[in-house]
Amino acid sequence: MRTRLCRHVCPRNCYNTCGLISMVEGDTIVKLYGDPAHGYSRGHLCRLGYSYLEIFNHPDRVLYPLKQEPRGSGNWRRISWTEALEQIAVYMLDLAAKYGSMLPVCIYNNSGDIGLLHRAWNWLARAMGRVTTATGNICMAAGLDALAYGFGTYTQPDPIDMAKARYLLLWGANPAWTAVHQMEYINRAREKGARLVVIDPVFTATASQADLYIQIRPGSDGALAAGIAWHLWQNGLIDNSYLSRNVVGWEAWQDYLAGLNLEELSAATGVSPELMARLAEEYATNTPAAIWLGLGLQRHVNGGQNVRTISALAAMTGNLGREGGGVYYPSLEYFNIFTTDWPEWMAPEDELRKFPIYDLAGALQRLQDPPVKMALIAGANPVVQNADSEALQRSLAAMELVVVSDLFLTSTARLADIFLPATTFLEHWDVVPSYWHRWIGVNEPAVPPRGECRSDLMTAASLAEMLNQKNPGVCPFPTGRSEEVWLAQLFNQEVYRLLGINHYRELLLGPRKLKLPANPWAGGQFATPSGCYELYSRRAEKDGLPSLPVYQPPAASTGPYPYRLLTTHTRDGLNSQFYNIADVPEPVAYISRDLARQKQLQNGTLVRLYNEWGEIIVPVEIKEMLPPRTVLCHQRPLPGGQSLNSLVPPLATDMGTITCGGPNLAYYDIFVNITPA
Amino acid sequence: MQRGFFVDLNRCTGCRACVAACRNWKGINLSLRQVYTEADYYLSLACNHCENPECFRVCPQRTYSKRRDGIVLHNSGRCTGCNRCVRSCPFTAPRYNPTTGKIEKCDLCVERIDNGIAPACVEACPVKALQVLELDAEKDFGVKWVPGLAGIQMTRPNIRFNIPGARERHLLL
Amino acid sequence: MDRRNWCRFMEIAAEGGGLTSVARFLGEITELPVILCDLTLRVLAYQLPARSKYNFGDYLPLDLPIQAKSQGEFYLGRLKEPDVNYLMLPIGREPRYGYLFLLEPEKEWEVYQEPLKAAALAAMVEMSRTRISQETERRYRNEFVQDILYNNLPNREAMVNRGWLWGWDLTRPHLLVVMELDDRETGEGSKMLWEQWHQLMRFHLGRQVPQAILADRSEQLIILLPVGLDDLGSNKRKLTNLVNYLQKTTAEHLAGITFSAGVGRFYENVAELYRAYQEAKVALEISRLLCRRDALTFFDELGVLRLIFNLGEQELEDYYEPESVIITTG
Repeated sequence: MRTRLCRHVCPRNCYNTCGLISMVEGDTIVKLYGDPAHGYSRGHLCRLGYSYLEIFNHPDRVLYPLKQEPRGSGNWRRISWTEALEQIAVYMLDLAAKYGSMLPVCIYNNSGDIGLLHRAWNWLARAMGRVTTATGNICMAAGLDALAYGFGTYTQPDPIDMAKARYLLLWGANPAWTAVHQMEYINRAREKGARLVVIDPVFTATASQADLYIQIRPGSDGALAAGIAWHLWQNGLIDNSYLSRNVVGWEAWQDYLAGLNLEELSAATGVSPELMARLAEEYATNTPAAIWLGLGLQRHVNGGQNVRTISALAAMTGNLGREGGGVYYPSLEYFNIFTTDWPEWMAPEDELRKFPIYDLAGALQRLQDPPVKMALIAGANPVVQNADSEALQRSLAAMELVVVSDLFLTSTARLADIFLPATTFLEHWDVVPSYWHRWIGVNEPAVPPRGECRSDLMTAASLAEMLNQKNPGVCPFPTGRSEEVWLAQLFNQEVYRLLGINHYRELLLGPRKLKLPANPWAGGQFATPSGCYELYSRRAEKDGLPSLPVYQPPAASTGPYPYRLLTTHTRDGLNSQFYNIADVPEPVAYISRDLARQKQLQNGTLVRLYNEWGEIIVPVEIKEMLPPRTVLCHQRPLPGGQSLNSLVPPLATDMGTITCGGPNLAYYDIFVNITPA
Repeated sequence: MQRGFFVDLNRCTGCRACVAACRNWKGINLSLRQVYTEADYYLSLACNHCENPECFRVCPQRTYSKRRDGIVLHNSGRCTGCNRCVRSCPFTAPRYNPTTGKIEKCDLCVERIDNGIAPACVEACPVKALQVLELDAEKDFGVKWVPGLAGIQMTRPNIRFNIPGARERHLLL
Repeated sequence: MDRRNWCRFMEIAAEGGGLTSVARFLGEITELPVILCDLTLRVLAYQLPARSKYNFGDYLPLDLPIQAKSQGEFYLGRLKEPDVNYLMLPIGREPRYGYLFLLEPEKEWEVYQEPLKAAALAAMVEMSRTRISQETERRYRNEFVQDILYNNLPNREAMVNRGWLWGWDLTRPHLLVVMELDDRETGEGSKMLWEQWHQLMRFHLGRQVPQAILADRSEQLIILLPVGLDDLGSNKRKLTNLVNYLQKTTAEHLAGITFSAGVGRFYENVAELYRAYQEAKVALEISRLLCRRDALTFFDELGVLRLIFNLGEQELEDYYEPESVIITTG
């Protein structure tokens, strides 16, 4: 029996995008381990990476198309692919006949698998043109727009270069749990004497390692940054030559800083003026200094402004372009270098009817002329991950046909009529860039798909084929191509040049790193209209936003719902995935000792967390060092048909349109009340 | 020369890659390593390959042995799953596997060690918080006990810790 | 001292003439009584002038640690009895092997320095040679005993057969005793103390029970004591007497140093001795938890204590009532 080694790249929505190798004997994967040739993850995986064989072999994996009759009953029966695709295609064509276009069809796809070939559903939508899809990004849009206003087009320095920093300011980022391999580079810097400072409302695992941890009131990060900026300015810690050469708007911003009241800022943030001054001093004098903008601080209604203000600190001190320094935030540039647009068969982007992704539930209900009648959801679990779960469930219930493609019967899948089983990365081809580091790897299948599973690409192609069978030419999506042929289409001359290869198959010998400058801002050139870093952004002003990085407060609690609910990410899973493996802890709501005493709750007491959008019942656990009037519930699926996001309204952040087509969800600006259940 | 784990509490982030890597390598559905959350750090513990292993003493079937390099091995051949060792170990190292009806215990990945590579957990750790060291009475590094670990006087576990350094923390005003 | 004498000492050492030859030659040159001792002041060799009236037993009548005035590397002191002066030079520095004494040196004792140094060097060659072969044997013996006690041998036959090679009859039942000094110190002094204690125990155990097997691990001595199948009571009595004797000897020779011992249960089969070993250590640890010194604890007399010990030291101390535990104190 021949033993083969195959290369893979983990396609989860995660900073690390690690390389893996599988050892295959015949048609059985016998071992799965980290790829030592991957320059970023260096042969390491995380808790989730090591659990992939368990996922691959999980008894709950759906291996055949299923039909649920009636919807929501749990009565699933196996059907053939032909049957499934026929039902879907025929229904779509009926809708088109009735309404004059396929606008009543909503195709919804998200980051369940970020490999490029998994955009096939979006490509299918583009092939058909007049279809309803979401625009925007529920995760990172505000921060990206904020940085785009400042930088022009933002892309981050090489994160491996954090090892060269002397000062690491992790602002709202918790890599110890959500980007574990970055800790290696942080630790390398620390071994050489660098100082690690963490600012976070929650005392995270990363915070526990920091030389200096500063707790902050959730959402007030812009105020702290403004306070630090004031001290940098007042204490002569700014880089005047950098400001005059490379920054636009410093004078205007000085006026703003001059008008700041430090006591107010201190009250808003919970950080003393002395500590702000100290931070300013440390940040300015320990160069190169790097700021890692976490995603949490932009999950507020003022998220974008928070990011603009923090990023301004790097501009003020000349840290923007320094090797080892600068501003770090995930970006999508390494995805954008690939070819994912084929005008030969794709309709123009603006033919799609788009709704803001953060209001999926509302859009499905409200859109008219024509209304949405069918939802096709793939690589996403919006009932758990998107806002307003209860409304979304009602919206889906109102659909005439709901199709879900996934590995397991998720909470969203349980509301479907037809379930189409998908493959894992061990069973299909793809290329997976990272939104963090510059390593690119090709993912080859280790074994043929289990059962009758199909990759998203093959499923979309099959649907296109069936549509064309019923109505020739209705769907120009290319069919009859293998995954590898599609893969080859993604690669272009620019990609080959940046990777230093001639053919994508060379990546099967090992992932390669994009040849890009370590810090894209080293030359002091910015892709803004002025060519400078824009503290003052006319573009922002035109978009109805403050022209300057001014502090705007986050949402505040109202009378009936006094407690802020933070739903931060944790190590036990990734969004809604991996919660069906062994060793997963029980869900719990963390509260402070004070709150427990006030409500007479003990460890293990079941409580109702509720607001006007929904409610959940969960046990509590007392946790030290929580901010006052805050409940912490790690983001994850809940058992018993509950959803944490039933508490989350479709509340948008302040920006996100220019980079992502729409704002993200202000997940951390929501409020609840709590009573014993 | 006694082999034992060295746990750097300064570096461990509680990410539990070690736990998953162990399960992955052993191919069984229970983990032989656990990560405990303490007030200020995380404790990653598997088997401590003690000097005076209680599991070894109480087993009625003579399934345990301790190699010259200190690794305490469990030979499942004679194991009847009586669980006496499970109850007697202060560190809950032996685990009962309901599928086989026998005990499993960390064996410091002997087959890997004997081939010169580190155990799966050590290799997996993204922050190099775990190591296997050759502990001798003369070599005096790290500390033998930290809060959160059970008493060490009776079994004399072969494990050492590096305690976390001083940190500065500022909570909300 | 002229060079020919130096050469003679070296020849004696090279020829393997033994400590007696070294002592004899030193006695010839100095015309003084020469006594060569090990670390425990046991007399290994001596040379007395013809008209000398000294009569020494196994040990030099001198207390350890040695109280003497140091003169550079040399020491001037007085024996306990007879009450005479001595000039002493330690044999070896690191490690130390023993001591070389000259009795009744004259006032200008500097003249004895060179002969003493040469003799000490020759003695050191001899003693280090012995030490190396002793250490090698000790290592192999320890490895074998630990293979038995940590269950690394496949079956009883393997143990018994290997045992014959050592001259041991492992078909006989053995009681297992673990002994450990009460004060565990660190640093240089403790290494020498352990070595002294080890040598003392080896010598006296060998004299009292020649068939006893002595091994060591982690600063504990392990004794496998062959016993008959007669009633346990009499075996225990014999063992208690032996341990008490060893404890008395230790206190005598090492100025009040004490050790405690733990004894495992009786197992007829050598293949079960691994249990006795762990039990002996448990018994010893429990006596330590209860802050006993100079103790001898039998595992099978611990009663309920052995069930609750793994709750931790604090619980044990809280629970402990002095009368409920049988721990004999030497």
